[in-house]
Amino acid sequence: MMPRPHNPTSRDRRRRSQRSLRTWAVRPRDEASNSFPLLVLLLPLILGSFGIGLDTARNFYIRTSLQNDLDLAVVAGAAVTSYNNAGDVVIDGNRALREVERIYALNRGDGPGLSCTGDGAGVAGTDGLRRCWTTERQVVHPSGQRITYVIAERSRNAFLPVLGERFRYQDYTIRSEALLKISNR
Amino acid sequence: MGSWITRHLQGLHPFRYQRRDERGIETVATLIMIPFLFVLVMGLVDIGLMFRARMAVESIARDAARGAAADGGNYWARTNSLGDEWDDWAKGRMWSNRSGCTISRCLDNEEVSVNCRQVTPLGGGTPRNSNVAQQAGDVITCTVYYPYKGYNKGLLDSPFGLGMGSFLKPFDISVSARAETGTG
Repeated sequence: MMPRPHNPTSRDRRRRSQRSLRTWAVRPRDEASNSFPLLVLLLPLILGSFGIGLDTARNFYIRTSLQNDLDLAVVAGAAVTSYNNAGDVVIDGNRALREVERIYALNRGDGPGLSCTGDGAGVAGTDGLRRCWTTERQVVHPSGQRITYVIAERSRNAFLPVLGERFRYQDYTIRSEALLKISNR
Repeated sequence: MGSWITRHLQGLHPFRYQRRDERGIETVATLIMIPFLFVLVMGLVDIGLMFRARMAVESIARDAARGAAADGGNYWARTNSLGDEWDDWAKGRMWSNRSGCTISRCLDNEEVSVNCRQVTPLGGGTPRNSNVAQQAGDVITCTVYYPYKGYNKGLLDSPFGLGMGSFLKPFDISVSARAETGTG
């Protein structure tokens, strides 16, 4: 009697598949190579996540700090009162803006990791501090009631550049606005 | 033929010896990695808390500088109902005589200090130590020394700390505000 040709049933296939899985699971060479590549793959990822977290936290801190410095400066600028020859209070937006620069320069100082992106000109009344930020807008509103000051700053990232050259710096655009003070001496 | 010899030789194959040793290698790797990850996470948390403490101290220093500026100096307590000076006011928000630093942990035997007595004249020049501004436009500077310590400084200062302990150190914050009035 001729042997019947073996047609693998689904049961056979399942058995074979179970067997190969078991073989794979106990193969020592596979075990040996499981951990190390995983560690090698994960280590940069872990360190990178750590670095990105650190840079992001620092950038948030710098932004908050710069915003507070600018707010304080703009409030100071808005509090400047000017007088005309007759002794009346007048709006002098340019003087207010100069005061904004002075107080901002004093508080900005050499903030953490900030680059000098401005024209580097000296700021009056600050004993040698330089204008290291870029003034994007400085406006005395036509109504004469408000001043707006918008600056651009830049800080250098420590870890983020591993993601690409475009992450070498973090740019900040900071805006602040205040009502001008009109009062007597 | 060859069956027992082959089996014997297979048994002597160097890779066969390693089989028993390789078991648990993942556990060992995990045990090595866990302290490393733990230190990284602790470091990240601690550095985040340091930024938080810096922001809180900056905020208090700014409030004090602004208060002193609106008051024409550190001394006149026009807007301060308790009548204490602005540096005492600021210190009271960061330091308690009973429990020490209130914002975060501080170095032992060191105290928060605040100085809102630096007044720079309107035209610039050297700051003088004074409680009052002479005229509107003078700059009043509040400087705060905060002996920050961190929550895991011991761990992060150790060789396992990967140098992160160097971030967790005392810091100075300085905020300047424009006096809105003065004695002149």
